[in-house]
Amino acid sequence: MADNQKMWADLGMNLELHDMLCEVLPGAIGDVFMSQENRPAAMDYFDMVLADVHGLRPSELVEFRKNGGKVFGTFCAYVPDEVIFAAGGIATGLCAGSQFWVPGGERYLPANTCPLIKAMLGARFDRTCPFYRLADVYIGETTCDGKKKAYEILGTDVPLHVMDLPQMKREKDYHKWADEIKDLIKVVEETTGNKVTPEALAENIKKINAKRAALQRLYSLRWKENVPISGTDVLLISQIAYYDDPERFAAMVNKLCDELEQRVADGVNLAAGKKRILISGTPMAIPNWKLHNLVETSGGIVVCEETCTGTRYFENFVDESGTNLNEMVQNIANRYMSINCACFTPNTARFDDVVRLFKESKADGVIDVSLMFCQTYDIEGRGLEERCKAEGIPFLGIETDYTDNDAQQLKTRIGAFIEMLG
Amino acid sequence: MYRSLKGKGMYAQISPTPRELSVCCGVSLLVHGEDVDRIKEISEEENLAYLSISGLNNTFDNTRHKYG
Repeated sequence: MADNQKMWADLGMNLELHDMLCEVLPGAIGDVFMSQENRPAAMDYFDMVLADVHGLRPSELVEFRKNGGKVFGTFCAYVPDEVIFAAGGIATGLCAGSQFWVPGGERYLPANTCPLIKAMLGARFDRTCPFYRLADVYIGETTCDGKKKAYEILGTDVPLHVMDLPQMKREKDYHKWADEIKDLIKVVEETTGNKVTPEALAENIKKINAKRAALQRLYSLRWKENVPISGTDVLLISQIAYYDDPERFAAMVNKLCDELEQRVADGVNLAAGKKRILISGTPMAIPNWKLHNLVETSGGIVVCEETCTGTRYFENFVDESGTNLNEMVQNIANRYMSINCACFTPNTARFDDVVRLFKESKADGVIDVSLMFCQTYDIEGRGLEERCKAEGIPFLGIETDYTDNDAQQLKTRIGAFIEMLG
Repeated sequence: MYRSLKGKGMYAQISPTPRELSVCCGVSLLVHGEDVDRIKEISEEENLAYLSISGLNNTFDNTRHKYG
């Protein structure tokens, strides 16, 4: 255990401040995860990753870098990991889901900025997250105005490349995104010193597709009449997906799914007597487990997340039939452009996704969650509510942040919503 | 140790090390107090290493709603 302290010190982290984070996390993990009953045994891998979240994977990245490897930090489901791994790099999500990092971010950003963006800057500038220290280059993207401006500040402290994500979905936008991916290839090639060959890209398209397939399998199992796993546990898995080794992660998710299939066959049902809830909206970066914990201690069970830490991350595969780099890049662009984020206009395809997922997951109601000051999702919530009403889908809209202050009020609202579902 | 205990049908839960025991965010095994003597025996028999076995009065409360 002393090794973690040394590793963090070697990474230039602020140990005193980081210790304060270590102080609160074990209690939160105990309350949210360990208190659950009848969990699948194969959650043990994900429990271990979480228990040593700032030790296990960071130590692997330290070893990787010692051997000359380059780590790329990402913030968004639109950044194509395939390209980074094809250049021999490692992509790792830079989580920003804790209130702990927010005050640090507020030193650089207006208070009325979304908590995810504030946490992003706080984690970097306060030097309290090893992943932020280990990433050699950050890959940003233009998914919202807040992020765009925050990247300008972040870029003063760390090498940063921003991908210009189109905000409409016309044919020329798909080609534009392919061009952005080609620019990313140049960046990863220059950083790693390795060429992205057609063979390597084809191999890594398959590798990341396999990870998507594992997550798709996991979701299809929780959509059964008998729900074999809690939404809180699935959220943790989706969060870990962003920074774990993709092949090991897919293997562990598939191992879990084998057990879940057996639990379904054995009649294990964590949804008995509970209402099935689909959560839509903004991403829930680790350790943001607030909404799932509130829903699942209020008579509900979360059966689907239409979020970036949910279906947006893994739905749709990259077409594997490309025979040269240009075709592969366009296929990658096509897959990522099929994600329906509120940064696009129009974005009614997202409403279609929610309605489809509501049916597929056999949900009883939708809770649409927007992080405070996330303008795009907040505004889009109105249209989603109208669409849900037209489809006869019970809907609750929530705006919240990472603080615990509104937990009891939210619990009252969520409890009333679940009660209303009958 | 986790695999050994689970293989014997004993309770063991991988969990973060409580702050009261370490400042390193390391991994611990949560075990039942009545199993501790047996676990010490198993560790000796199978040469399983651990730093310490400690008891705390902490409880898990899923309605505390404190998330860090």
